[in-house]
Amino acid sequence: MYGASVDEVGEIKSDKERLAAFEARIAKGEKIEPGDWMPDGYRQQLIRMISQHAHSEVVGMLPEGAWITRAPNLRRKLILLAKVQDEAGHGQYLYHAAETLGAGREEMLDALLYGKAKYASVFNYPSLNWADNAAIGYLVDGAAILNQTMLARCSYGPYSRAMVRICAEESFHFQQGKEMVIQYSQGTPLQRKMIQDAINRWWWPSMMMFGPHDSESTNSAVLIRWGVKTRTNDELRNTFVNQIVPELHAMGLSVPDPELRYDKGTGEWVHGPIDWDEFWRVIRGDGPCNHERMTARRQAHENGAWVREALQAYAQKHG
Amino acid sequence: METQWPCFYVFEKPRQEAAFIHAGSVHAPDLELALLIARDVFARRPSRTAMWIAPESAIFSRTKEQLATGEHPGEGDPEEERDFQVFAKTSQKGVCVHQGTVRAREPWIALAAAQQAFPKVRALVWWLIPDDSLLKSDPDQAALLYGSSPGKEYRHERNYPVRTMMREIMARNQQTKKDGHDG
Repeated sequence: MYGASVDEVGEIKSDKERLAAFEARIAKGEKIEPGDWMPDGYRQQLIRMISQHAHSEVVGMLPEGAWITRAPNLRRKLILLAKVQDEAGHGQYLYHAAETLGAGREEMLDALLYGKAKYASVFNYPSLNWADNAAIGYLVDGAAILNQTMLARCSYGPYSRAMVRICAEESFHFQQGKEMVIQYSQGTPLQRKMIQDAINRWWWPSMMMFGPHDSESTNSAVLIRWGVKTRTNDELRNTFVNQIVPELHAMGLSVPDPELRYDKGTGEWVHGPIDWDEFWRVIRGDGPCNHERMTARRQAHENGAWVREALQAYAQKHG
Repeated sequence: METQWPCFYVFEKPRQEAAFIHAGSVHAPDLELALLIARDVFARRPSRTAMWIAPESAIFSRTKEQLATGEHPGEGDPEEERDFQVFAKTSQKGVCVHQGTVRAREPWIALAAAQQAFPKVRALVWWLIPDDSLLKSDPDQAALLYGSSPGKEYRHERNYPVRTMMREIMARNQQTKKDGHDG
């Protein structure tokens, strides 16, 4: 695209003036588009967030993907196939959105595959039986949707548009998980035991998906000022708790948090302390499945090298 | 091997009677492969009736602010007259939408022609794209590549009656509580 930058047509502005104009645009609710002036910090934060988000979608295929061949019936198999394919598609939307900011595809993938980039810590936990797919849809996708609905309103146009597409598909993921959790909870004693076990194992990793407490979250303030986020980690986490806890209780299931309590004054559920040591350990690579996930991703990437080479060779031949 | 492929803008036509809209961008080795990749990225789930692909470098873009500051056209050699596809973004939260076609010798003249041809369009941004730089999807392939998948109803949230299921559970819980009190 060739558009004259404002500098070429108007007087040269100082960085301070440009930043003020940029922040005024955000305050008015305008969307920032790829060619627009933006502070370096905004670009870097977005590349970090969007690429981490893309990595999470791609790695997120692995815990459930393993169950496609073991689905209990054809309907569940079709649903799971479509869901895992959606996650791959979400990764694609997001990598393309990150590329509009000048991030290179190979650079982003290398950062994931060779250990520098982060992705959602929740995908480093194992899925041990079919009920885990129910808990993942209900808790993990339920938590993800809250974050994604917020990001659909974010100030960067391509990210917000990718999120609108993702949210539409993600709500199917949540509903199919919730349907399974309900069915398990109303089933035989063994089925109720299975789903309670899965909820017990996925509850805390899902709670950690919202990220560190606001007091510990170094990026939050600037992300909120620049309209990337509109709600804090703790606000989103509390919304999640207040949505899920009453539903689980109604289903006759419990939440594995001995300090969980209902505050009559505020009318809200208040959760107990989160094990942040575990969170940081898993983020830094020492979770139950980090090694397995990255080995699977590296292998998939290497196995796909011939496709990328063939595309390039074809383009050169016909270009 | 060059690893970062050039950028292509993707336009999609959601319904037969709808205008083309900007869907996003993809990186690909060339136009033809960009169209294939765009199909997988943007029409994997939602059905579309057509797609257009433009190299990013072929899009001539001017914002309302740039036009207001009085930028003047450069003095290039006039080229052969050709068709330009005109796109405009008219709301901050919207995307660029196809307005129609104008014929001109260069992008600047095409822009002036677009403003005249579409006087009611209050554009925040104009995009002018030479028609011969676009790759357009093959209409014969549209149904196959971009059509909907009516058999895959399970991919939509409306097919999961979880609200009704929860209501039934709540009603049953109420009844059990009441029976407990009565007993």
